[in-house]
Amino acid sequence: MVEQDLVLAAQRGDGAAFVDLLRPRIDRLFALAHRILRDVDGAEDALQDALIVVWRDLRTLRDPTRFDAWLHRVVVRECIDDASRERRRMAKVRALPDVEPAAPDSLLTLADRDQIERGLKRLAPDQRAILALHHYAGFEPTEIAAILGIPPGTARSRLHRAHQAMRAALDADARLAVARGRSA
Amino acid sequence: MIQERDIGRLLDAFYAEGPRQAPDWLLDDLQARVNTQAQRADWRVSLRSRYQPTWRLLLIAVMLGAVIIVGAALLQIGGRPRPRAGPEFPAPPCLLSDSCASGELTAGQHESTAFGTFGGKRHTLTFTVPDGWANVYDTDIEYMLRPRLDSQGNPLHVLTSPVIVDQQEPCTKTPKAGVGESPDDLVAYIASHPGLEVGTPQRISINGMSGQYIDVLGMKPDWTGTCTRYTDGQTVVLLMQREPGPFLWWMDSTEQTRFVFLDAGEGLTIGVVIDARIQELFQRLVDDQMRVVQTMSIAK
Repeated sequence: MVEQDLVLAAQRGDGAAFVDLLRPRIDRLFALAHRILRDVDGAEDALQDALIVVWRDLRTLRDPTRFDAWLHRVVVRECIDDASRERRRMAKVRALPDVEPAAPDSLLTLADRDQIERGLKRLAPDQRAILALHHYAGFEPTEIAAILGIPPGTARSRLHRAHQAMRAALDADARLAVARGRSA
Repeated sequence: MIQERDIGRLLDAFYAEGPRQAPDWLLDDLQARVNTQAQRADWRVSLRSRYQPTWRLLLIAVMLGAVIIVGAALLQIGGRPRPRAGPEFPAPPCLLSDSCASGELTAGQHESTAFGTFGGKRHTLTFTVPDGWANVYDTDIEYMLRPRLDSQGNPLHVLTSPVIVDQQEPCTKTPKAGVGESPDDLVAYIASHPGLEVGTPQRISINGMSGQYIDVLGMKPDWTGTCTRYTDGQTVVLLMQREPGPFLWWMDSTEQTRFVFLDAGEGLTIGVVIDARIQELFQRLVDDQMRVVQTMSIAK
């Protein structure tokens, strides 16, 4: 069965087709949600909520070939919304997901990672989302535009502004570290 | 200090690390939830969804504006509104909002909330299920039951006024001219369809409703019909509904399906569709779901 068939079957209410449709995508969506939210539990919650929204509203998708862009849009919006509000989460008993170990020849030192992590936390959720879509998921600005439902020029400028904001956040972090060193 | 030109490269490396595998329970949980979560019909305006296309928001704004203007004009002309006679039957509580689906059902008898509006009257569907079933869809023209714990998720569809579709690319919803709407007409059309391998039609009588059922067991290898709007391969497009709605039933070569058509009186035909995407499951599905079908009745 081709993917378009699965979309159409899911639109007819076939839950098994819907799950089959998501099976090859779930890891990538989870990883994307994690890159935006920087939190495993948060990524699980956001993805759960987003996928129920996708199922519930699937019949409103007119063009099945747009499923992937629409799916990413719902997931990213859910992540941005979750990041924008405080959520209470129920603790879940779960297995820890596989973590990709850092390559021995990684470009990043431990200090770099901490610095980038802190820098990302200073960014607005939609800026974190656009960086994750580009640098993790590998989407080009025109694809990001389709996912977020914005013009390509706007996607390009938002990505540029997110890079600038990241640089400013890292500079601020570096200045803070220098100031701490002086006061120590 | 990290330079601007390096930020992209560092983010690439940073994002390459971290979890890449979703926990297994996510898909299991999703499977359980879709079995009991109704979908919205495509023609409904969903005001609760945060994902609204711009055209829909504009349409809602225009409609709201029109309602306000007309309402204000009526108040000016007529003063206090006069009391009006109530409708002939109580309106379903959720025709224009979320589906009336009940979700998980206890073992025993249940009835539809919205399903069965026909000819200005309500024809409530009543049925009995064992434990483990859910109602996932309930509108005026379509009702859907699903075995709650069935991991294959094969639903049982019940619909009003099924009619045969004219299969012409690009698969528009057009009723086929010259084909009647009675159970005998519908079964005779399917039985003689040049693209379908079918079983022998059987007469059936359920709680005062008489009709026929027929099993579609596959597709003939030389059938070249397609429906490229929905699928790439061999396709037979069979059913739509007389009333406007999203329902369009097409089959591909992987499916086996039982169609049950019942005369509910007053010109109302009820269609029941039992569909197996995994052919090995067909007989078990038919056996399980026909036990529920046999309990169905239409209250007028």
